[in-house]
Amino acid sequence: MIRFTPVLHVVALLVGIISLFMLAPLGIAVYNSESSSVQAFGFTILIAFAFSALTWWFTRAREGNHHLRTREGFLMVSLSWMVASAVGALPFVLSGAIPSYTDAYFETMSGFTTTGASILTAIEPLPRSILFWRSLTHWLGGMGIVVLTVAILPFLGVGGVQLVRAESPGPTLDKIAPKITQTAKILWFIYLGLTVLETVLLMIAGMDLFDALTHTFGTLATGGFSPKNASVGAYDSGFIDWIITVFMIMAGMNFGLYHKVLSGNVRDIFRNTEFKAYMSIFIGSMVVIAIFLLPVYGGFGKSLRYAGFQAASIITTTGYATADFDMWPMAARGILFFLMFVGGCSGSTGGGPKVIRIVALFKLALNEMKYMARPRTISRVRIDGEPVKKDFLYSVAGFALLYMLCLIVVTIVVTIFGADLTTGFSTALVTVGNIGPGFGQIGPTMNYAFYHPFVKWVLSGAMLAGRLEVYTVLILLTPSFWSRR
Amino acid sequence: MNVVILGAGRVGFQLARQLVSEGKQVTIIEKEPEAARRAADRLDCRVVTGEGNSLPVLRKAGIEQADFFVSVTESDEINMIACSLVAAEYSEPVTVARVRNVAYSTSRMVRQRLYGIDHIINPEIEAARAVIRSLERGAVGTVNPFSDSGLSMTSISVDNGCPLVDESVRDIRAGLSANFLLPLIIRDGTSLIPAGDTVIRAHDMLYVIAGPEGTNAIISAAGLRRRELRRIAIAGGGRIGRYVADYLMGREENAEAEANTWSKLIGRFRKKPPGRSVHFVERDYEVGRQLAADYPGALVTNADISDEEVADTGLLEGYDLLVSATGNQELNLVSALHAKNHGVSRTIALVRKAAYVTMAREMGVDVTVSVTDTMVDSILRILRKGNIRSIHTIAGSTFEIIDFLLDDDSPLVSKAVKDMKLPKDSLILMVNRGEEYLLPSGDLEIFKGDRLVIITPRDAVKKLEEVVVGS
Repeated sequence: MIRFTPVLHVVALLVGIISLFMLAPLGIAVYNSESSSVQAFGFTILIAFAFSALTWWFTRAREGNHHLRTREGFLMVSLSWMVASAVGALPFVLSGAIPSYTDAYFETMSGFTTTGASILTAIEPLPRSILFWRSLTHWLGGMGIVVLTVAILPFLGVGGVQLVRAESPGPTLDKIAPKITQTAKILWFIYLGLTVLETVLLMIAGMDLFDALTHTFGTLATGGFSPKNASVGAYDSGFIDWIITVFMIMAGMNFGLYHKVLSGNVRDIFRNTEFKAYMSIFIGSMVVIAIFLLPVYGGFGKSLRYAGFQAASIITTTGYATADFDMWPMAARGILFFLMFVGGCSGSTGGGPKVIRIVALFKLALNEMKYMARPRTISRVRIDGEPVKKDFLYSVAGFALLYMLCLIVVTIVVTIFGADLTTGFSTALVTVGNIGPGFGQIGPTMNYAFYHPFVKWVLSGAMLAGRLEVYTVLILLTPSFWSRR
Repeated sequence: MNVVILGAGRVGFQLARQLVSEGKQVTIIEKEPEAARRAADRLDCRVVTGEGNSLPVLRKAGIEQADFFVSVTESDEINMIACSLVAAEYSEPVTVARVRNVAYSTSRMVRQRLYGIDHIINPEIEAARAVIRSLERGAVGTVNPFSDSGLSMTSISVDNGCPLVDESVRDIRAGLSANFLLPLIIRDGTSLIPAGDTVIRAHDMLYVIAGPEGTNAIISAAGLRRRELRRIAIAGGGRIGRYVADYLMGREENAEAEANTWSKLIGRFRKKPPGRSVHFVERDYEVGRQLAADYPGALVTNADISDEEVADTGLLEGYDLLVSATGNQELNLVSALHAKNHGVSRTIALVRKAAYVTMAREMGVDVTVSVTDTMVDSILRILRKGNIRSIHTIAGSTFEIIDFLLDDDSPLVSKAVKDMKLPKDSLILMVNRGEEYLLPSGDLEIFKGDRLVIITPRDAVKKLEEVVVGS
């Protein structure tokens, strides 16, 4: 049986944490004397904090413990993201930046899930505090708001493992420290370290603190919100492009690997199947796209710069753009389309199906062919040199099917509301995959404003399903989840 | 010499029989009354019934007077503990333990004072080594190395179509440029020391001692084309099969290279030895899965090697070698024969019973390795006095070939061969002096530091030892 009190108890804590993070944009609003934003953030913080404190008080454990059980964990994680987006959307509405709540919710969900799909037509006129909050949702969602809660609030204790697993990207969770709170802390420190590093580098490259920070949030979370209408393309600087390219790729890597490198296990990286596959796919696509771009940009160096940036942006599901890739030669677009099916590495901030699953599916298919040729052969799928368990392959195969199912459902909904098939399918691909810009009417220079409100709600759900690796959200739709037995 | 053997299993029994026949004092400790009674009935030795890891029982077996304590029970732990117990209480006996678990037998733990085990013998590793030695010579016969001399003794069976049939030993020798020794022929189950005019007959088993070129020369002279064994099937994924596969797939080298990143990097540019492919045929699905997990480069098939399906589907067609190493020795023999009839060039079968070695040869299995024999040989090598370098028991024969190293004390030093009083039927086959290998003539004088290879009847081993070593 599912108990709602402990679930709400944790969600309340999470809302409290989110509201505390709103103090940062509030400070910016005060500093820039943006009166409407000051009111919006102040009001939201008050409401959210009051809601959080009251719920927390009324749902506290009266007897026994409050440990979340497996099913409650799934409910709590999905609910946390929905409530966080609901609360996070308030400042947009209250400040008048985004008048419609549907649009604001879409924008916030897009932020937390690090999708980067926007309904805004003009970004630059908005108050800086609002833009900062928009980018900050990326940063919070990138490493996972539940992981953040686990890191900050160690008393969640043992139940935390399942929560983190339900939220963490990729089929397996590497516990890099014996305790899950320790693991969560290490991950967040690595994340924080990379944030400082990129911000400093971007400032050296000529950005001011505000731009550097918001772009860092967008990069490391593999989000894609930029405070500029023309995204990173606005700076037209090779130096900035390459910094962001490198950091996007770094954000798409398994953060557990950084921990291994920091503790001296450099060789482990080169034994990591996923890392090798990820880098090969990226470098291969970059070079091939660059060749196709030669007629567009002339020199190979310039082609490589644009190709590398866009390939990194799509494979890591960031969604930044330095060029309107929808206008590129068809072959280059084809490769970007393929990259949308790959995604980042497990344990990264990237979205998509994840490299490890693609690799596992390929190996599984090859293995099946071996069985067909020699029916009595025993052959094992290997990852990182070790044979993998059947359960893992089953879960990956199931994931692939459910992922396709999500894509199809979203495509159908979008096309029912009048979009053409290119727009419809790429909308599905970039929302479920948490990428952001796609092809057709949602190309890198376009936005999602034209969609019907109903479609926006469906897309918000699709982004959440994609961010929580499909299973965590779809499990809530199965009858057995809610059954009392 | 006084030896206490713990465990009257197959190895313990055969070891005891060998030692008794050489006139040594042997005491067996066995906890199963039935096995103890059988040993007492059939061997001229003392048998004590009781647990080996108990001091009173060990004392009763006369451990105080023992020169050697050999523990060969089925349990690694009992063997290790019994040896430690003996080592802790008595400094005199040299302890030998049979340890199957590689993690134990290769760990440094057993070399520590706490355990006090002087020698560890792993039966499966010994058997796998025998398989590998034979395999490296093309799997035409059993190959035994002569300690570190570079020489080896190979058995070659002569069949009807063999070009050596009806040739005399002298003619064969004249026809070959490389040097070799032919100390023994087994004909119709009896041993025969050939002279120059001895004529080879069909179904003879020849024992040849030679260096690598000599061995290859005689193998090709016998019409056994020595071929590279590249495609190798292993039936049974037990320990022996795994050790052989480890060797074939170069696992040992990898393990060393693993330790050093540099050597691994350099290794990439080094020319690789000719590739050998390994194909496991394993009946048990779960064992097969584990094999597939542990040997990424090997093909693993889940099938019973004795099934007709294996032959019908052409699973082993075109294979160069089948090593049948399942736990069932009869199955090993049958499947080796079966494989020979279905297109496998050479076969090596593992057996336990020594009697099967002769039988397998008559049936046409190329090489038969007896796990018990290799084990007993290894233990005997330890028990022989220090200057006996190696000893070769020839299955189905009453003869043994012994490799002696002569030191100062030997009464043979500074004597001519013709003046030596060797036991009846004993013969000096060869003298090894420095780099040279001399065929002994009557006038050849023997010096200190020479090595003598002598063939002798089994019951004269003790006498020969006295003549050569003194005492």
